[in-house]
Amino acid sequence: MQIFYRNVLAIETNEYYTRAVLVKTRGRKAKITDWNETIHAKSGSGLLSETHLKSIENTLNKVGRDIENYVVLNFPFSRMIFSLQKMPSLSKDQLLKAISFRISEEINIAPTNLVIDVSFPEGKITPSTDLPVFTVKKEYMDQYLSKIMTLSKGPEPDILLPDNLKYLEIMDQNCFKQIAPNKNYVFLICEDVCYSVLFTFKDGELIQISEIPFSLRYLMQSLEEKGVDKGEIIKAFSKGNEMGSLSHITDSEDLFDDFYRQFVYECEKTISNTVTNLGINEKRESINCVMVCSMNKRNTKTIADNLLRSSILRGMRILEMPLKEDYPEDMDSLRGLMGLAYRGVREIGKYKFI
Amino acid sequence: MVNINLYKKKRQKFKITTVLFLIFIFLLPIIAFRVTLWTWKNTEISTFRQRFPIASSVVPDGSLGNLSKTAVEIRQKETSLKDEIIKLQVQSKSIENDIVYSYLIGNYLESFSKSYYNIKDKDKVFLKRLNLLRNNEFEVEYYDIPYNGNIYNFFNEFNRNLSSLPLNYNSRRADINFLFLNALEAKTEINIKGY
Repeated sequence: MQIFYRNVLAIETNEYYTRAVLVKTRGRKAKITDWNETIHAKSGSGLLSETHLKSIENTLNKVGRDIENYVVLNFPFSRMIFSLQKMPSLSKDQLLKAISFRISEEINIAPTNLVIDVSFPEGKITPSTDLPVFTVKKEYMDQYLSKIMTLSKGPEPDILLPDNLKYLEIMDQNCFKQIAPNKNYVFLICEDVCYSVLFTFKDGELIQISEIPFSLRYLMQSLEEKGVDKGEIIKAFSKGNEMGSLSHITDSEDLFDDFYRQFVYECEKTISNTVTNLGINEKRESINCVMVCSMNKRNTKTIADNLLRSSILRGMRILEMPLKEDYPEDMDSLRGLMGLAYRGVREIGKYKFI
Repeated sequence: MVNINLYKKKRQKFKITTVLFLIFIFLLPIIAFRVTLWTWKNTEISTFRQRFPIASSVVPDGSLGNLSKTAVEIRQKETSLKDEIIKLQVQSKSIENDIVYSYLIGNYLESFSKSYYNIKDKDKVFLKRLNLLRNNEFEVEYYDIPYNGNIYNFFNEFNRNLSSLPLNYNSRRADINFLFLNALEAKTEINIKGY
């Protein structure tokens, strides 16, 4: 009976693991009451496979079910289409319809078969404003939700969040306040198990999302070929501080070095492409910094160190993404899951994590 | 902040316990109002019973509706009692008037009769007129003819007797001297207005 409090259930699931956290919001405070993780990284356990769905069910059973929970679920990044659209000045409802028709023409899918949401900027929308648009095929989304809700007995989500946006939720937005007006571009590299993504901000507003075609998945494949158990790799990735010992035990330091070298290269390449696409002429003068975020603090630091060492973009300032002030320290290895939890809590009201 | 939500169809669901609790919460002010009214009514009735212990014996231990019905009954009884009292007062006044009237007339006639018996050897008395108008006046006109001399014994005796009575009377006389006859024509009135 959630009358004097509200629970937020955040579920983060992908082809390697399922995590769920239960956050109790009461009296302007949000408290983590329970969380659970099931790793199902076995061969043949792809997205929405039987093993994956079973692991979702097990995780939810452990955390507990309540029909009144506010549920936040992630949606696979690989199934998303991100685009920027310049539209005439219209109301938000009309804009959504117009964008839907435009994207429908671009990818040749009927508007009724598309699910579209737009991140509207805080200021006035003008014809020159680039609107970030997230598009999903309705058929796939229905299939995704239907399998989770029926086969895994999962709850109906209140929020279905594109997976790549989860790291933005834990980012301290105050960091944009200190940016000088003439040096207003900020890049954010987010590394996840399944993908890596580059966010571009101008004056604190998200203006571009680009995929970095390299992620921990490649390191995982290399380690798997050396005979290391997938589950062990995921555990090491999640915890972060066990990655060093994993590379030492499996005698694969060179694989790790290669991975980071390649990752830095791909990051620089993606940033350069974005800079060209956005028409940023004077890079050093316009770009404020490049921020880095990964699954945990250790990974983030490793990537930031490698980027610094490589002096990307001619020695651009590299920072670790600042986390929100109230981010619980003991949940560092669950950054993605906490991002989803923050999203749910933000939707309910203004609460501070304790 | 990026506020993307790809699934906006969900409607909030409540558990049956939550629904019942919410219904209870919504009904709480009504229940509280009724309890307050009930307490207030009981306090008022108890104050009423303390102030009017006799009247409260007819007040049933029922609802406020019964109490108001009883109040109406009491009011009706009070009105009918007032009517009865007025009737009794009228009747008692009428009886009182009758008694006073009979006392006045009786005493007057008794005085007249007594006076006559006292002087019947000395005077002759002829009753000329007796006029009795209830609630107005009582008049007696008579002739007093003495056997000897010119002393009107009856007239004197009668007036003396009347003066000893609590009567508001008025006597007038007129002497009649015709040849050798001395007579007195007298008229005595008593005011019986109001009786």
